[in-house]
Amino acid sequence: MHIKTPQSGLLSNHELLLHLRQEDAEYTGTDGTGRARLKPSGLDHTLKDGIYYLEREDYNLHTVAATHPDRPMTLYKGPNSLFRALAPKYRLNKAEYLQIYNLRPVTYLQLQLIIEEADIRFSETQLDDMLAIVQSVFDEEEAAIPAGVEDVDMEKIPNKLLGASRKRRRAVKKKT
Amino acid sequence: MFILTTIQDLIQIAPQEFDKPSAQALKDAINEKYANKVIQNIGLCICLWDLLEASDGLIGHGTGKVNVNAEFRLAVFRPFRGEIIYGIIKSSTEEGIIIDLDFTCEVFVPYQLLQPNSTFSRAEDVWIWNTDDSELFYDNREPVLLRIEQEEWTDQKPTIVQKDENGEVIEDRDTAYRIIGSMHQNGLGPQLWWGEAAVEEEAEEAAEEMDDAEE
Repeated sequence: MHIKTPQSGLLSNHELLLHLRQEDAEYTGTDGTGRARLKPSGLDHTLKDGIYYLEREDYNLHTVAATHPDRPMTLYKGPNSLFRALAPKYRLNKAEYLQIYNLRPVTYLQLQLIIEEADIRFSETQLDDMLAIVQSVFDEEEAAIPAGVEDVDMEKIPNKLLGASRKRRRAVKKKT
Repeated sequence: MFILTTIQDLIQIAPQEFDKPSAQALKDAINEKYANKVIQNIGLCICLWDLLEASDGLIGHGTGKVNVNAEFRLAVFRPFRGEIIYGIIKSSTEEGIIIDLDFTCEVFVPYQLLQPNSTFSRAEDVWIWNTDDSELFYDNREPVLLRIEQEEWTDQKPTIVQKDENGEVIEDRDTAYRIIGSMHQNGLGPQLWWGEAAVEEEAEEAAEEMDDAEE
């Protein structure tokens, strides 16, 4: 066994839940493709427990799965995605986006847990605005989003956090 | 909290499986080998995500098994440091609280990483946070938010022999992958404490719990 890439990508809980449900449907035959067969024992446990964990009502995730059951990428790419809704106004890093997708914050306190130094980077009205945007994006029913929208190439949003160009950085270092 | 890992491996398909389409047979063999198993420094494997490549099958000598060199991605559980995740309190001891994530229970919050000013009640086996005006309980079966602080890996390879102070071989090994979490920030811990009308609810909750405790 050779590990080619220890981390080739990040998965949101929502994407994993949809994948686990598909696998479960395939192995039990409920997806109608006639591939029903016995699950390998380890897989039986992970599918059952994984789906149970991700569908727990206390964890807020089942609502996201209910509004975006078949086309998960509408949440992540394209004009209706959370990224496009928040990025023009607020600079958040990848880890913060991932946690918003996973935890679906509804209160001010939850947002402060996810976003580091939230009170320094953003004002209270901005945080309230973020919560409202999160709510509206997640509540948007998938059916209302036009088809193929998530595959459209959109212009890249420059990442200001990357900082100034190399030249300027070296100059600053020399001064100090 | 889940990542994708790309792995290349030699998969063997037994003759009993030849009636399945090869993609299915490969998928079953990979799931059989990896699902619910921990790979050191990678994480807990959940299931196959997709098959990227598979070579032609070659039959070796001696057995009728077909060997296929496959490259595939697995969905793996490995939360990053600083991530906030949901869990359920499973049980508490003097050392801390064990959190249940359904697919794994190897998440531990040591007592030093609970809210400062928390005490352990031996009578009820729960930790209690003593705030200025009330006592809040870390009850079993409460949904909680916790922050990931650290990971502990223990190699389970049989060739690594561990000896205790007397030079005798230790047979039992610690769990392969354990996560240490914390619940000391505001907003972490039982979600019941931090509801919408946070302050009022806390007071009401504490009042109810005090009544229960007295009963």
